[in-house]
Amino acid sequence: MNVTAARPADNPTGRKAFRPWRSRANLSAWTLSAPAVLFIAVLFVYPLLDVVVISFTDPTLSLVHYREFFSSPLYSRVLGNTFWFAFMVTVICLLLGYPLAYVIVRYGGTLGFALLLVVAMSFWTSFLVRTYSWLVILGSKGPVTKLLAWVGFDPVPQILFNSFATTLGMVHILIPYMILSIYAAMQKIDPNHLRAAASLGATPFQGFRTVFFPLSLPGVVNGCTLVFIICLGFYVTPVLLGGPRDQMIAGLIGEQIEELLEWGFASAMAVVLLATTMALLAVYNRLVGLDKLWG
Amino acid sequence: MKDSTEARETKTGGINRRAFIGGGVAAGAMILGAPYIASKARAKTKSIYINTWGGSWGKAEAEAYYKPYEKATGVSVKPITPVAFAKLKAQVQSGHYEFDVIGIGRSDSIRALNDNLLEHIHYDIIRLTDYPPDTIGYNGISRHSISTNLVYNKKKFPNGGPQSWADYWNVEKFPGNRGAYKDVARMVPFALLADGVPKDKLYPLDVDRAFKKLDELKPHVKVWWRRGSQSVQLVRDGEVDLMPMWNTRAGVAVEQGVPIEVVWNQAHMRRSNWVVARGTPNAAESWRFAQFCLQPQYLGVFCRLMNTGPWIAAAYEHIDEKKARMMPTWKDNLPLTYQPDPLWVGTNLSALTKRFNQWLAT
Repeated sequence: MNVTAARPADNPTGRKAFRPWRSRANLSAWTLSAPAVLFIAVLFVYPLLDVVVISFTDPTLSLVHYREFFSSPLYSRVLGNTFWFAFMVTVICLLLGYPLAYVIVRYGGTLGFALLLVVAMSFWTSFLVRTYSWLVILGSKGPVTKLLAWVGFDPVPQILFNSFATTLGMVHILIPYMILSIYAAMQKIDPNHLRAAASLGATPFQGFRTVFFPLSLPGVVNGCTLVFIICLGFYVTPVLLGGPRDQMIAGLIGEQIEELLEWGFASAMAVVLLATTMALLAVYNRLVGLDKLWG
Repeated sequence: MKDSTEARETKTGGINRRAFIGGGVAAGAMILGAPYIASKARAKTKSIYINTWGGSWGKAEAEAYYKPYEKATGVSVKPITPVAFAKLKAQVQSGHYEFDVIGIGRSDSIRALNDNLLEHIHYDIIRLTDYPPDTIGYNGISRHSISTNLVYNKKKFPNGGPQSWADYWNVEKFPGNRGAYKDVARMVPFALLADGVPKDKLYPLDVDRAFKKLDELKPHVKVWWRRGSQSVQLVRDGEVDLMPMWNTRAGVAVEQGVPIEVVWNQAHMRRSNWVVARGTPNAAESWRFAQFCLQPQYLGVFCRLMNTGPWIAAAYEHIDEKKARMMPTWKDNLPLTYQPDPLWVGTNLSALTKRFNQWLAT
């Protein structure tokens, strides 16, 4: 708390001080945001702190859960697997999603509308339904296997119940988040910028590279963050489409909570997952500058 | 264990976030929200709340139990879905009750008792002498059993299929796509039975020996299933030719015309008990409800609808024989099955699960 700031007369920096009770505008801003702040504090911050507390105190005050987590090769391996998986899915979603969003925004019309409709419909369909549909499509009696057999594969390689099927299923489920995020950012780009670039002699590619792409980056960052974070907590699709090695940390956490009632250990796992995610995002922020992109 | 597995099946996207931050938010929201509303509501009308499954399971319970109970007593029964073993712990610890009654497996009861979550039986309502020996125990009373059986595709093995877990392990004599159940409490005893341990000498399980035997099976397993609906889909689509499967789900597959044979030899029996959340203000009413549901005419209806095997023999008077043959407690099937030792499983499940996950991941 800046004590000098309480008396504006001798405030040397001239910066506005934090004095909600002095300024009427500030006061009303605080009053208006109070319900939201309270809501977040009660429903998000408190339970999260509770998780941290449980991880150290259930059943007794100790570091035993963290010791177990780091002493067994299983959990670090599954954690690493989870992050690697989230990274792969995010990259593939980006590579497929960006061009699609570009087409929707730049070409618009019936094609753009149709594409947007398909993406939105996929977004609204239950992810369980979409996951089970992959079981049919990739199954041993499904069209893909038949096609591979027709092309001449003998024996036909197994495409279900492995990391390939899991990645495919996850990309399918999460790509709408990527496309819609990028679409929202691209929509805001004024086409006059591109015309201006062209009038100054930029080729279409130069215009895209120097004008359009940088302006679309906030959408890319939003989409990547969203897909990556959701991916970290996903485990149903890997359970249904993947092999025994495609375990995700969220699945192990769920098992500890719901089947074994070991909340202390589950909380410790959740805390490690959260801490690792935050650390990764901090590094990412340092390298890319998230806050700048978010504006 | 099965209950908890099924619980995930009925949940939607929200679970991922919940798992991501652990149970915290869920527990927090539960403490703050739902029970408050529930306890307000229950002050007005007399109701009991039962934690159960949605879908066909919930419909069967409504028809067999809730409607007759409401008619007989005037107390309304409100289902809370899906079954959440973890919620039992959350509500006993917080003192806010969203539900009063829940059906859980016997080894789950051991873990619940370790955390002191179960109300003792009210013996003035549940009369000890009214029930067969062994149905009452661990603060619960057995209602029915679901078994895990070896199931095979009749078309794949027209000249007689595998008849034991040893046959299931035998990839030369019975070649075919194998599914396995991602559940350590089943796969470890199956491995020991395949290795020649007699079924009455299974417990305490020789875990090292079992994992050695599981090593033999692992390269031949095409898919490890985790959810009941998944197992039905696997046999229906012909993805697998033989695998362990719940008798209830196998019954559904057979009714749908899937050409599978259910083997009763060495089936694993899972007992489901009625238990009551410790400290709930509706404890007495809850036991009255359990007592009511255990009457043969109601238990029989439920078992007929869901293929579960009743532990009250008289319930079979309300089930036709064709249906009864698909049930694990039917007189011809019961001697072929084995029952796990709930105390041993309940005590060792955490360590077993850890080892199993590790084994699967490498």
